[in-house]
Amino acid sequence: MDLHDVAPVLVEGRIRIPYRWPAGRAGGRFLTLLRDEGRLIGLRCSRCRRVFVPPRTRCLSCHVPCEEEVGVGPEGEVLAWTVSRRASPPAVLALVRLDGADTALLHVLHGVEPTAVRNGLRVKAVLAETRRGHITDLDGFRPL
Amino acid sequence: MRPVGIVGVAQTRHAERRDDVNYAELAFEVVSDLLARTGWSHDRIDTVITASSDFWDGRTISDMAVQDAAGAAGKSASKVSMDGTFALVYAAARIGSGAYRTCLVVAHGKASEGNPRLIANAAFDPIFQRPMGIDDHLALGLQARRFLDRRRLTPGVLVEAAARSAAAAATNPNAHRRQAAHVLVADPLHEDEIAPDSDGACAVLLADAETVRGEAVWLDGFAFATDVHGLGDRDLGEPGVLRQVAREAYRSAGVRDPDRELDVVEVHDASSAQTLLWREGLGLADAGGPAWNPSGGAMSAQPGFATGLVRVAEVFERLAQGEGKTGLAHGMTGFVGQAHCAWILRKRARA
Repeated sequence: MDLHDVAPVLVEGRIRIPYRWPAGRAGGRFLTLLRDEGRLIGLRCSRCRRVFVPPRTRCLSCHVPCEEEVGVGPEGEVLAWTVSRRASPPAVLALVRLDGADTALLHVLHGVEPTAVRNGLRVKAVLAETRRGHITDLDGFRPL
Repeated sequence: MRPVGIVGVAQTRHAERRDDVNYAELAFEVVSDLLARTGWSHDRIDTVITASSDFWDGRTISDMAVQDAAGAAGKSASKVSMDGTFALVYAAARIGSGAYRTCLVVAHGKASEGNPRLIANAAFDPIFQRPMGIDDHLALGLQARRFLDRRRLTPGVLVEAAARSAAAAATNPNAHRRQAAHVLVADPLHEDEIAPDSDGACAVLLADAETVRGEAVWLDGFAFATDVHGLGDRDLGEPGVLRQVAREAYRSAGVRDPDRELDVVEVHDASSAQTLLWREGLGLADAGGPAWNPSGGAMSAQPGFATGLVRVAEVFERLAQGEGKTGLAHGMTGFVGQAHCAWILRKRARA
């Protein structure tokens, strides 16, 4: 018997494991204000003064606490974008830097044809009708 | 650190699907080939480092299933869940410290067993990024768009870079032969501008200066570094920490002018935008200089965490065959270059 002649036998499977992911203190504050007040916030580094959105409890560069809460948006600017051509209909994903923030939020762009998106495009946050403390409480962004 | 030399390398032919073997058999295949090529037997190997991804392999602590296939039973084996170039850091440290004299590095990737896009999605932060449907291809699209806009380039440069990689891959007997169409997948990237999902493995055997005799290929320098994780926390259109990694790697190997001193460079480019971006990050001129990705780079095959180690194997083969004295091999972990590793290989007499 030559083992190279064995016809492949494939065993199908699927891994399904439920998780509970804490959003963390900073993420929890962001999602709570988004849900209850429809507001967007960031946290500012006490040393380099950069504002992180999504907020972080510590500066990614300085490694010191970010404790000062600042309101950001609801308008912002597209820094980078792509189109998920495998989604139906194609979805436009973008990195949006909200006004007052130094980092960008990954989210969906609505109301714009893929061919009309440009980096630097000004957009405004759109809230979901019903909110539950999830990043999709922000429905996405629309061009101004 | 004591000198570390390369005894030999092996890689599989990379393919769309290797349904004929499981991933342990794939590792066994490449290690057996390495031993046959070098004439070594396993009793001369002191220690083994593997590189594998649990999510790609579909089981936690995936190295447990690959170590005996790599011949590690009874030896001190360890693993990294990063690209094989980072496993090489671990392995070189074992020899460089004097604790071991020989070390085998084995990396594999078997994309066909799972769903690479779903697995990539699961690598992103579950609170803010994963629910947006982000995956590796879409992250590459964001990066490519940002790169083009920052440099005021048109997508034509991506088409040209992909064509050069495809032409090089056509001469590479181990390349993953695929039918990639020029259709948009993640704007501005088309299917043929994104590295394939491949099945394959690579092995590299290292030894100390008492074991590697005469003229050989040595690991004369390296560097690695990690950037921040979030896609919106760094500028995807810049080479990021690769600039720093390149500087440190050149300094550690005494390379002052990489364009003149390097003869061959192989990089892990997951997209045609990365082919251009990583060249910039390595501080090389736009044209001329070393042979650039003569294998086709990762655009010729992307077998998971073996991808960077294959770059090391390609550079080794070229130096061993006399196609130059000094080369650089680059590996990456993280879809849009969060962590980079660079190795300087040099063919020379024993120090």
